[in-house]
Amino acid sequence: METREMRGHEVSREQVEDFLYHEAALLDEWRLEEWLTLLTEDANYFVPSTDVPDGDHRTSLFLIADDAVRLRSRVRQLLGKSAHAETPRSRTRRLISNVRIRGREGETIYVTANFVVYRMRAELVDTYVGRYEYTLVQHDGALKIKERRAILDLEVLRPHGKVSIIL
Amino acid sequence: MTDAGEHLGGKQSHGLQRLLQGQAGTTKSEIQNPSAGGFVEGSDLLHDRLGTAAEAQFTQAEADRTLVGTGIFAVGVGASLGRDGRTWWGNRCPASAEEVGEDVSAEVFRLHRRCFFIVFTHGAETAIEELVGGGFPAVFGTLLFIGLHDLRDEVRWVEAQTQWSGRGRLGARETAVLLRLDACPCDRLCGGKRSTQAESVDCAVRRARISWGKESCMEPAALEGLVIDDQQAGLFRVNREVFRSPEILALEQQRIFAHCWIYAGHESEVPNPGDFCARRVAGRPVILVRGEDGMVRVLLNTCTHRGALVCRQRTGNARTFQCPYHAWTFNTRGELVGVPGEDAYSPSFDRRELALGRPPRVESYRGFVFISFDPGADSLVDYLAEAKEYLDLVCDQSEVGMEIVSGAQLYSIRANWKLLVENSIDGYHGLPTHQRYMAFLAEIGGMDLATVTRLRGVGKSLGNGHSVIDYEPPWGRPIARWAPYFGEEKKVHLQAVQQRLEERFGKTWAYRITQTSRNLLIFPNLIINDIMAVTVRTFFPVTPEYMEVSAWALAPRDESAADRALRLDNFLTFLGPGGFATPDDVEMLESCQQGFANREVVWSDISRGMNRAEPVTTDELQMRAFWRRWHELITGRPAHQAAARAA
Repeated sequence: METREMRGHEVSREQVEDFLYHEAALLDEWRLEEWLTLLTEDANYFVPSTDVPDGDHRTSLFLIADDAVRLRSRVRQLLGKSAHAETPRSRTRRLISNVRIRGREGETIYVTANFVVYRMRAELVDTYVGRYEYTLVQHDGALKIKERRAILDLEVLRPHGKVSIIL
Repeated sequence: MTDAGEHLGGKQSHGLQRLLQGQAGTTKSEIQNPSAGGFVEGSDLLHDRLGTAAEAQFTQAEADRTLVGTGIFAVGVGASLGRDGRTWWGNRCPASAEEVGEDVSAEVFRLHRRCFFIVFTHGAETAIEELVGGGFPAVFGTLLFIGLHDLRDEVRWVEAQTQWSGRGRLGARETAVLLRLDACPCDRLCGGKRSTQAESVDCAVRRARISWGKESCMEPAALEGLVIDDQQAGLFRVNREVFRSPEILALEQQRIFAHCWIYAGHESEVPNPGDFCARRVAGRPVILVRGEDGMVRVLLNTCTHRGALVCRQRTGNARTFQCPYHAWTFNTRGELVGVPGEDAYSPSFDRRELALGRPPRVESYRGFVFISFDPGADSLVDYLAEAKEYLDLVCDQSEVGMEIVSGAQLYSIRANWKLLVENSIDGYHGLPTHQRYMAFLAEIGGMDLATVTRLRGVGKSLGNGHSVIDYEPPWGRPIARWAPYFGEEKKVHLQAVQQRLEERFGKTWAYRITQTSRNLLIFPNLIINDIMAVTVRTFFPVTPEYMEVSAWALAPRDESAADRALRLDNFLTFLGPGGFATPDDVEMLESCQQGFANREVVWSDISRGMNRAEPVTTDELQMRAFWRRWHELITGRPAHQAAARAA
C-alpha cells in the first residue's frame, strides 16, 4: 500500500519530458490559454537579465519577472491585437533537451532542461539559447508549473532586441 | 592598411611607413565598421586617397587642373585649438592672404571645431621648413594636410611630419592626415574652371569636407535639405536620408560622437577601489575604473604596446590590467607599471609616455560620468545647460545618492539610432503604440483608459539639443506617488518620504521630484526617463540601420529592500525588452526603418504643436530641439537658415 502510494508520487524523467514537450507545443502553436492551465494559480515566470543569470528579481533588474497577474495579462495581450511586436505573430520552434530532475521536496519537483527557441518573423530568425529551471508541483498525479525561469545563455539580446514571445 | 603603401610604387619613405603603421594604425575592417570610426578618421582618409589615387592621376597636368595656376603657394589655416583663444595659426598664402583666409577658416571651422588644415601646391618646402622650424602651435585634435605637389614634396612632407612628431608636438591623441588632391570630383561645384584663387581654395575645402565623411563621396549639396525648419509656416521636416545614409553616420561619428559629451557610466557601478566595467562607448572599448586613490577614471582599453584589449572582463575588481599579449601591465590609474625585459629598450623608452590612453575630457555630474573626445569641449556643466535642473530632480530623490541597480538590459534595435531619440521623448505615440500597457495599467489601477493616457504637462527645449517632457503621470512612482496597485500599506510610508523631501527642499521642488514624471534627453544619446521607475538608457549606432542599446535601473541607494523590489516590479511592467511597452517601441522603430526603403517618400514630419505657444507633451518640440542641434553640428549652420536660403 505504502509502496504504491510512493509510486504514485514518483515522477519519471519520461513523464517530465512529455510534460515539457507538451508545454512547448502549446507555446509554439500559440495555444496560450491552454498553456495557462498548465500553471498553478500563483505561478511566476522569470527571465533574468543576461548579465546576472543567477540574479534575484527583488534586487536585480530582470528582463521579465511576472507574477500571476502580469503573466495572465501577458497572455491576453499576446492573444489580442495591440501587442504590435507580435502582430502578426511570429513563428516559433522550441527544442527542449537535457531534461533532468534535480530534486524533490514533497510534491515539489525541481527540473532543469536546455532550450533553443527559434523566433521567425519579418524574414529574420532570432535564436534564444538557454536553460529552464522549473518548479513543478504534482497534484493527484498531474504536473503543474509553479515557477518557470528561462535563463538565457546569450550575453546580450543582440540582435534579437526583445523577448516578445513567452520563452 | 598594408595595401596603401603599394600605391606609392615603393617610393614611400620610412616616414610614410611610420605614418601608415603608427598614427594611422587601424585595419580596413575597422574602417568599414562605423562604430570604430571617428577618432582615427585620418587613416580612412589616407586609405581612401592613397588607395585609390593611381600614380597617373598625380601628374603635373592633374595638379594644373586643380590648383596650379592660381598663384597659391601654400595656405594654412587653423581654427580653435582651445578655449584660450590661441586658435589662429595664420594664413600662409603670400599671394593674397586677405583674399582667402577668412573664408577658408570659416569653412574649416564648420568642418570640425578644431582642425589644422593646409593646402600645398608646389614649392611646399618652405612651408615645411616653417612647420619643422617652429612657430607652429601644439595641435590637439586632427591635423589635416591636403597636399598638391609632386612626390618629392610628399616625401618631404612626411619627413617633416615625422620630425614634428618626434619633437612631441604631435601627441598620441592627435591624428595626422595626408590627403592628396588628385582628381577633383567637384566639377559640379566649380565646373572645372576655378578661375580665381578663392574658388580653387573653396574647391579644395569642399573636397576636404567630402572626405571628412570618411569613404563617402558625399556631395556638399547632399548636406543641404536634411532638415526643414520653417517657423513661419509651422512646418518641420526631416529628410529620411539621415536614417539610411552611411555618409551621414560617418559625419555623426565625427561631429557628434567625437565632439559632444557622451555618457560613459555611473560612479556607483564602480563603488570600490579597483572596481571596473569594460564597455564600448561611442564605438570605443573603454574601462570605467575606480583607482586605488578612489578616483573614477575612464581609460581607453587598448595596450599602448600593440593594441590588444588590456581588460577583457565586463566587470570585476582588479589591482592591475595586464595585457595578455606581451604582459605589459598597467595600474588602475592607467600607468604602465610593468614591461617584461625592459632592459631591451633604449634610454629613450619612457614608461610615462605609454600610460593607457584617456579620452581628452572626463567629467561627472552627480555620479553620471561623461567623456568627450573633443579637448576643447565646454565644461560638462555648461554643456548640460538647463538639463541640469532635471538631472537634479532625479538625483534629489536620495539623500545619499542614486545608484545603478545590478542587471543591465543589453539589447538592440534594427533601426537608426535617432529613431530611439525621438521615441524616448515622444508623448504622442503613447496610446496607439502602448495601448496594451495602458489597458493593463487601467485594469490594475482601476482607472479608465482616458485617464491613464493623459500626460498633463509640457515639452521643453533645454539648450544644446537637450529636451524633456515634464508631466503629471497616471502611474504610481515608487519614490512617493502612491497608486492603488502598490497596496494600502505602502501609502503611509510614501507619505513619510514625501514629507521628508518637503522638509529638505520645500513643497514645490518636493512635489516636482515625487509627483511629476520626466522623459529627459541629454543630447545626443542619453535618455533618463524618470517615469514609473527611473531608467538610464544609452545607445550607439553600429550601422545606419542598427543600434546597440544599454539600459539600467537607477534607484536611491538608501531605499529599503521592499521599496527596491517594488521599484523593479514597477519598472518591468512598462520598460525593457521583455516589458509590456518596449518591445512594441522596438517593433515600431524597426517598422519605420523598413518603410524608409521607399526613397520616393522623402520627409518625416515633426511639426506637431509648432505654432502652439506652450507645447504640450503630445507635441514634438522636444524632438525638434534634438534635430536643430543635430543639424547645426552636422552642417555647421542652423536648420532655419537653411530653409530661408532654400526659399
